[in-house]
Amino acid sequence: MTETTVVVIGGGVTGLGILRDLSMRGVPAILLEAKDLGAGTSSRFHGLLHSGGRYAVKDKEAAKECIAENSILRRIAPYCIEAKESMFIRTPEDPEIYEKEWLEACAECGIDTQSLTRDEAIHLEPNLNHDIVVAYKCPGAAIDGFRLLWQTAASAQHYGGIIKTYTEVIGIDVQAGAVSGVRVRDNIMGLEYDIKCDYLINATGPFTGRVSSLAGVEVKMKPSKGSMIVFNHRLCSHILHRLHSSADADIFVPHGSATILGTTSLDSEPEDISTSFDEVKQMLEIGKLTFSNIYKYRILRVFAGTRPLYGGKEEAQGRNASRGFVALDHARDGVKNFMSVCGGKFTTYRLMAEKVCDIVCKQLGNEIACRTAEEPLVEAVPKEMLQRAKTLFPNYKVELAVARLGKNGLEHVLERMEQNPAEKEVICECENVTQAEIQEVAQAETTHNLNDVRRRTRLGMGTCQGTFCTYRSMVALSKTELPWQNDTEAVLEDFLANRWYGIRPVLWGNMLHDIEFMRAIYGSALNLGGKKP
Amino acid sequence: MKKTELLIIGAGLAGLFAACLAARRGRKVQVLSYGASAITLGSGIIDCLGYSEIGEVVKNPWQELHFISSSHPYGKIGPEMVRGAWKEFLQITKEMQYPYFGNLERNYWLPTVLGTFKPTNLLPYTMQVDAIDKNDDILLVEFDLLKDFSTTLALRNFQRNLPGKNWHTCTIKLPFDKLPAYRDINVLDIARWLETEEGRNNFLEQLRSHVRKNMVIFLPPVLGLEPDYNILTFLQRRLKCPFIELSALNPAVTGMRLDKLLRRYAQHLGVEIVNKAKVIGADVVGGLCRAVRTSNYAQERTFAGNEILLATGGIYGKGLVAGPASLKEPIFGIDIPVGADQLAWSKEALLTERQPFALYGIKTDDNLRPLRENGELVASNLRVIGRGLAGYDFCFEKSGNGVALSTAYAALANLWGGE
Repeated sequence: MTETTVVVIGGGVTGLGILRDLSMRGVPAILLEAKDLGAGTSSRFHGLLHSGGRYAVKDKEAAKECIAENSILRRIAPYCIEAKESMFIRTPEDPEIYEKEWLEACAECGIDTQSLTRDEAIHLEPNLNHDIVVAYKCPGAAIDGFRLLWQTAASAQHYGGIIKTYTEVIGIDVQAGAVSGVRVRDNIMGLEYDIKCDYLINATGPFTGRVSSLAGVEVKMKPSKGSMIVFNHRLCSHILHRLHSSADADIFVPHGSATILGTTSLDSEPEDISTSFDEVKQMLEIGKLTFSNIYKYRILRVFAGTRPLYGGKEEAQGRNASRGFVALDHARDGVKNFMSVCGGKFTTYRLMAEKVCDIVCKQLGNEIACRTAEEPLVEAVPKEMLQRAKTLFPNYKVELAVARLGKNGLEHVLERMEQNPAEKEVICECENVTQAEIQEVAQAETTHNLNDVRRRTRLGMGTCQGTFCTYRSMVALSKTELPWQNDTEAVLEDFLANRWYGIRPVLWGNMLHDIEFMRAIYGSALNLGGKKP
Repeated sequence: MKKTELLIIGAGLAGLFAACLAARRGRKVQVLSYGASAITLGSGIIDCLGYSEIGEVVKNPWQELHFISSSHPYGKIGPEMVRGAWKEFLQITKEMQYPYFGNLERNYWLPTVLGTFKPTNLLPYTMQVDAIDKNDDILLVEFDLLKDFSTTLALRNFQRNLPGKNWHTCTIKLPFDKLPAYRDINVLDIARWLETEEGRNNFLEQLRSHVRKNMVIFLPPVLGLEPDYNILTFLQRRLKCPFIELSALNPAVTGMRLDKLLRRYAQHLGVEIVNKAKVIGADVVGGLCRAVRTSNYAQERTFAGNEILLATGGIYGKGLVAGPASLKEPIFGIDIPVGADQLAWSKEALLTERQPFALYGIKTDDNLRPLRENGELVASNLRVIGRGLAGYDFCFEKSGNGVALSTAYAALANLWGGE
């Protein structure tokens, strides 16, 4: 019989933040995620660590929270964040009056702005449209969602938190008006079992209403889908925002060698992660006002995520709804020991978790203070270890792997390379991922297929979108006994299908060319999925 | 400006084969080549038709060719053209002392590095697939430093896909004392090693202890860089076993051999191959293509021919260029009708469905002469061969090299009659 004090449902940034905070306060907790960590909204956003500039005018409370959390996260998650500056640019299409409002609002929220002339802006960002009017610099940062999730998970596990992926909650036990546990199904083994708990936290984002209904509680959600385009170039070094009231496709965020443009806003069902060609065209037309050459840039893929907007008291929808989160104690709905957390945004996840844990821990009689803002997610990698890594890793970009792995992860990978030099080889040449790293992740308890490996290593996320490394990673893993590898053809097909999904709406230019090649390899040369004679 | 008899744009399989055929018939031929041919990326085998247009396994390609739709290049040119192409291909490879085997009445199933099988029709003798049915013992050979082939992975799938065999495996240690900097070992390195006497002897010694009489040997494509059977003969004389080079990822050693063979044959017959010639435009006056223009290093040149063959390939060779909701042949400016919604260009299943974008291509009349969207001839002395043609999905059907050869033959037959 499995039991714990708190069960957290949802392996996104909200759930993981809560698990970390609870674990650091000494509260035994288990997190349940139906798929892989970050399979939902937490890996499907801009990757923007807000400075608050975007919300300063319409939502001052959100803006102030953002700027405060921005600096906290830079301190506790330095490996996940590429510190940059934002640049808000006013194009001829943007109303002058907004500029004034914005400057006043930023000042009020404590967001530093520095004005730039048109020439100064173009000097800093040569690709910009030359007809922009004026620009302002302010703090900003790009955050790698996957990395933050996994490092938060590592921190939670360090403090005793338990994570179960591919474990879906199929029932909530309510006895005498209070939650006593959950019924779950392990989707890998196909087993159902119960977990007893004293408190249940529902952090399932856009699915909040679906999960709460398992306990007979209604939570009204207004999920809103947003699509993003990933360019295979670094179009700018600043995060570029249009200086106007928040609208579609008005942010470009550089991440490493890619740039993400987004987003759109469409009422949707939580499972809908599709992107239409109309959305793509619309985003490119708007993006053209920032970069006139945008149609010449190579697009890598598109992806979409669902905003977990609360549809309850405030009837406002989509872009205009508040981004502040909502913590619903369902005692008021007749079910005690049950809370749903919805809304919010990635940047303020730590603060959301702190507020939720304060409420829950008080009810549990736990008085330990929150320390999540003080301690880094993972230990910093000491200089000697970095030097050692540089002698073992086959080529440059050791820093990328170091940032992905953190100290403990890196230690394991270096040991592997020392014990078996063959594991030094680079499997994913686009993202420089070595066999050692792939082996390490492939054998983790939470890994059940090649996509799980991809999310933690960036395998297949680079320029070739898996054309080469899909097969090569299976070759590398073949000598290791892993249960999920047995049906190789299914693993490969599943991985390629995932890559294909995000390429279809942008299937022209270089991507069409690369897909033709991918099909030539897996279809013509290897006849993957072909009917047998 | 000199005018040749036959000007061929593109030195891929279709272009090179057409050049060889024309030269055999005594014609003056000039080929404009830019970049490496896609032959060098494939296995150098000739698929005819592995799966029908609806995805059924084809047992007898010759028969199936009689039922294929007229919008498919095979349907347009007719089965006799395929037979003619096959005959000449087998003659040419035999003359170059790297003969292929196979016939149109049946398909062969070539094993792959993944442990699957792919249907094909003409193969070199380094892929002795006939031996599989005749023997029960199969030896899988991997190389310790080669990341592109694992016997463990292949075996897992071979055991499922080819039951009833006794499987054996071995790992060859590569004695490379100096590894290339900044990259890993690939099949090209091993092929180069086997081209040396020392390498061949070392390989032989390591293999010997694992080989028993009549054991079929499956290995990655490494039996040499040249279109000859020297290494194969050396090994077979001593081991007395059939060898099968598996279908693999690039670098495609076996494809490179075929490319070399065809280039040498063509040049030997006096074909002029102009390299680094990127054709950017054409001058069509009075319904005839008078010249084509190349651009390279900011220098423009013009070339002319009585007859022109457009063999620039499709999407991969950049013979067709795609933008959002648009597809164009860039030299003659031919617009190709495509889906207005980019999502209509493709189907959900990447590999197991015939893809609309693969079927996009240049429409032609019965003489393989390209037509514009309004049905007009682009030029009366211009023909299209190979991947640029509309109506077939070579990855789904396993028909790529076959269409290249057959349409090249058909264009020549259309111009100057059959052989």
